[in-house]
Amino acid sequence: MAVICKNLIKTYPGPDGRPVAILNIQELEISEGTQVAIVGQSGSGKTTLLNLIAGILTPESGSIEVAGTDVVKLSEEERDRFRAAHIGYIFQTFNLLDEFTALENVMLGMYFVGGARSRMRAEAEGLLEAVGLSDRLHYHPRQLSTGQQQRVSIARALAHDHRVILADEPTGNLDADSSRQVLDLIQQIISREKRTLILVTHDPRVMGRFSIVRNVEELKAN
Amino acid sequence: MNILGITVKGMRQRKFSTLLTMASVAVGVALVVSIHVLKQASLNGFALAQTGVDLVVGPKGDPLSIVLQGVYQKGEPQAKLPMSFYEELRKHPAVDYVIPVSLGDSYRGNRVVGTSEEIFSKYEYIAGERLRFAAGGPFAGEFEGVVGSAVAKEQKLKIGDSIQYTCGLTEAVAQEQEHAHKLKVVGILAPTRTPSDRLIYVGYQAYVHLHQRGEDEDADHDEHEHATPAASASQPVVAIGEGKHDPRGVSLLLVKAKSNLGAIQLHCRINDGQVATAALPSREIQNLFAIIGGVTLALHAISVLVVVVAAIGIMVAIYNSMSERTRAIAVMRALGASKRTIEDIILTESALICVVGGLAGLALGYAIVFLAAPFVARYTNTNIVLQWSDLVSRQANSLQVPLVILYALGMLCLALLGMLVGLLPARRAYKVDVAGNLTGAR
Repeated sequence: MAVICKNLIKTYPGPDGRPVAILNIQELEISEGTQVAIVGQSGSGKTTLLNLIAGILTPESGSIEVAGTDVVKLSEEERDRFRAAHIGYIFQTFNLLDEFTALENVMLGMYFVGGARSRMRAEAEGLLEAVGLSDRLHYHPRQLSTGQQQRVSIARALAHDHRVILADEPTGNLDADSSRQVLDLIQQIISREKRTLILVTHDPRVMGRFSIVRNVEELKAN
Repeated sequence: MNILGITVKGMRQRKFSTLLTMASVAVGVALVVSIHVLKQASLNGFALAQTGVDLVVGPKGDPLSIVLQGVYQKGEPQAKLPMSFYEELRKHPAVDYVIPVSLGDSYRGNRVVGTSEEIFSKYEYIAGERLRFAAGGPFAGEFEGVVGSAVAKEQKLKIGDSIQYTCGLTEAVAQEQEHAHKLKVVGILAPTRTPSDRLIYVGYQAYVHLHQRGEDEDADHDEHEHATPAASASQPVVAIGEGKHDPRGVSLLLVKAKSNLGAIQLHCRINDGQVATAALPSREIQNLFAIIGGVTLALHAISVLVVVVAAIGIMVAIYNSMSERTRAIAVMRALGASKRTIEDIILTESALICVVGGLAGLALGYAIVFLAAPFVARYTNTNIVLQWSDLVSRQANSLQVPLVILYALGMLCLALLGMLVGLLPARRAYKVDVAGNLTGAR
């Protein structure tokens, strides 16, 4: 299994300061090499689930096993290293850093894992070529279209052979054509390399491209 | 890609605020450096000037004043030594040579010095270096003068020019006391980087005769005390107990002994008498710098405080910039950067700002001194001597360490200071809400 979540509870402080459960999952299992869409209403905790799997947030209780490691039991620094090594993240708002070129944005994630610079550079160039941006290596994000920026974000997420790719509404800021192209790209690469994709969406058109769809609210424990 | 590269790119993204912060450090460091360099350059000027003589002898009085008048042309003589004293000293077996110096006249703020031709043939303004002529030669006639290089340059003088020199050492007094005769320029000296560059030399006997003639022509002038700006023809000043002013005396004597022991013996002999005071230039200047040492220490303390204030400014600037950078920090955390990595980036930025600002301040400090030196020299009549060898010399400061080493240590201290003030902003980075900033919720 790529990801196993059990008895997962995540709360946030309510207006009165008392904890309010934003996520309550009894069990969620995602097999390695599968592509899963996570759906639900706004505020149902879809993004929170991705952040918990990535180790950016920690639950109040429960376990989250990613590639055989319970990330909840790791220290903060260990979670950072684990995320750098195993998990790629594609954001709705791309979250590219303006001060870096497309190539450097892709290399940045690799840097936090470590390794030879020449290898990082070669891999980053290869990834950008795979997403159709071999002629935009040295462009800054502000010099790229929104579709191109999301491609850079995809290349960054695929770096370092991340086995689990998390995508939080990756087409939310794109037009229909760009959305289709980006989704085609993501799914092609994921399928070819047999990686695991967990994609959050509220768009029925996106949902329709996935054979496995899980509704966060249906995963809640009784 | 490394921490330094990531840091530099972030700083370039916030170019304006980064440059402003660096500028504040540069100003503080420039202040420290320019104070030190100007002080050292002034010391160099003083050191160069005092090496030519063993003793400066003047009428009974304060030895420091005598040295300042005789070697550095500072201050105004209040009395004269009788010619008989000069004649007797010249014949002393311990004496190599004695050069008379008469003061009291000036030309456009530059002193006219009555002296003997030995000022050119024997006097060494630096060990082994005598006054050389860039043009012309020494005075021979009564109203002939040799001008220093700085005077010739500023007043655009050439051989054959006539200059109207005046009685009095300040222009305000001198304007009312023009001599009847003009001086003819017969020689222009090569630069020496000593106060000699700002002097005009005439024969001292002609100097005496001129003033003696002046007594015959103008009774008021006879009682005029040259050196006192407040004195004028309407308020004659006569030194108490001295009787009538003796124009045949000299203001000072520059004495070169045949040996160091001879110099010490002469020093004791003269000071034991009632007529004159012998001063050792090196000793008196050391005493002077000991006195003003406290002032320069205070200036250094103030300039160091300026650097500290600039460093606090860095902390505030970086701390405030954290709000612009929360998204970038959140993205890097999401990509796997640890809190320690983020902290390293912020501390590196803070240290870089201090070091780059420090290097700019170092260059700016030297530039300030280089540009200001001619003006300082002109208006204080002091030679400012910048010696690039001071950078590698152990003798250039009281710590006996070459300046380049001190500057390198200074940059290291700045880097550490930068990291210290970066700790608070780095602490703020710890608290960035990663999840919230990734979704743009904050």
